[in-house]
Amino acid sequence: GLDWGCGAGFDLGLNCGYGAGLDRPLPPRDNRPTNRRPPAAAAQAQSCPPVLKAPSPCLTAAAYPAPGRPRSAPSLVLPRARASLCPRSALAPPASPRGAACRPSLWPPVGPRASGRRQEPAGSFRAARRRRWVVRARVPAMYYKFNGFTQRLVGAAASAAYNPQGLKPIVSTESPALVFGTTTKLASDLPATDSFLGKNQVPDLQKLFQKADGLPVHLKRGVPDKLLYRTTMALTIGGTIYCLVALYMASQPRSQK
Amino acid sequence: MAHQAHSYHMVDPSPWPIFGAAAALLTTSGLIMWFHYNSTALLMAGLLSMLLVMLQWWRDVVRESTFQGHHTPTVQKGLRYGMILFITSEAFFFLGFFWAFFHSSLAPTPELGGQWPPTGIKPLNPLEVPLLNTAILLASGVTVTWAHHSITEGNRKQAIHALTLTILLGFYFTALQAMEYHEASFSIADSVYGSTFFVATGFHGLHVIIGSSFLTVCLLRLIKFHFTSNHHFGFEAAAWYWHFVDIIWLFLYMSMYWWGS
Repeated sequence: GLDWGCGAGFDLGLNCGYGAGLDRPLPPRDNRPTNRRPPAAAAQAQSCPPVLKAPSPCLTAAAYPAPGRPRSAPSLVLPRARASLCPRSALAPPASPRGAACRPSLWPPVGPRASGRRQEPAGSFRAARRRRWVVRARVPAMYYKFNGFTQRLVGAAASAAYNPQGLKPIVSTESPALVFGTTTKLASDLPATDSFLGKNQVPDLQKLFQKADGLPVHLKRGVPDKLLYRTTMALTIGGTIYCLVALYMASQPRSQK
Repeated sequence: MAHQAHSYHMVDPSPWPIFGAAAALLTTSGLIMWFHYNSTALLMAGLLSMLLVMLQWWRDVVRESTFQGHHTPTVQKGLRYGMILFITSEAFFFLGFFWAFFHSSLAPTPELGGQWPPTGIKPLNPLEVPLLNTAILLASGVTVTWAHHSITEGNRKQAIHALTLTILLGFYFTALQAMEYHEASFSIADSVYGSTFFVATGFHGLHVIIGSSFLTVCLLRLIKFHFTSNHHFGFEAAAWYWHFVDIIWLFLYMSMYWWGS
């Protein structure tokens, strides 16, 4: 699971259940109205600085994932963080109708405990762990291989999957150690196999053709490209004119010989 | 500087499409001038300009892919579709000539003597040079697959050897077929037998030459380190084309050389 700093004993503003006071009772995970009333506004104002009051129930609602989602995406909603800095604030989730209106559309609708799991004490370790913002993909246990023709993954037997195309061990390209070590330099820094038939010039050509000089690709190399282009143009345009003249002449009626 | 927010390739403006169209015009009207007015100037101009356009256009594709990196997986997928569709169109091209052959050979007319091969035609023995040609093309299919596996395994030397062998086998096939054409006792003018035989095998030979050229370009690119072990679509396209040429030969051999003799 991903630890977003929750276990470090400080709260990064993520709704992970760990915070400054682990003994603080955490609100229940659904948005149903709860018996626990928030403390009186005055008391809240006295105990927490004004800045730490929850600004809006809507934002607070966003911090509580709906039931039925055992693991949810992390939410960086500040009110939760601010609430946690204030040990005396017992922020309860808003009453259901309001909460329903404020709930972000991403979460599934709140129902009476859709998950059907038993409600654990809010402050328990297991509940806290379950509240960790971890997303784990659940995939069926299948084997796949890469089909080189369609360029897609397709189902395969385990034996085919563990011998994928193109992943056999590559021939070692390290040069053998010099037997007679002298001060002469190695012929090249290329691996032994690459010295067969020439040196790799692709990186240099990549640099050349990626220069931001505004030239189109067919003229990018400069003079040789321009010469070839002009020759082709002369041949085609000249040839087209000759062709039209020849076809015109051929279309004239011939006199009897 | 604005960067593209998609994985497609918006190509630079290029003159090759219109020059290619002009080259096709010159070639076709050059054929007319050659057939009817005994003048080859226009035809030569057409063929030369066609060659120049092909060279520069495909050179630009190599530049755009290997040197400029425009061939994302999305682009490569499009190229795969394109090559498959092109090979399919070639298959239909040959289908026409096979149709013509079976139309004439399944119900030989009285003018042919009511038989196939027609009276007086001495067909080539399918168990001599044509059988060797079959073996050559099948072997070249094996070597091109060997070359492909060597590329995916990163074994450069072996890949070069295998691809060179494939090209040599292709040239061997072409040379043998040219010799057969020279030695055959019948010509293209000898009734519908000559027409169907030489047009079908002739176009096949042209495709072998095209395929060998494609493989040769791939060999040069392989030597120049253009291919990586998991991105070498140019080679794959050449290998697909070569397998297609091989399959067409098998159909030709079975229908015209063997059944038709």
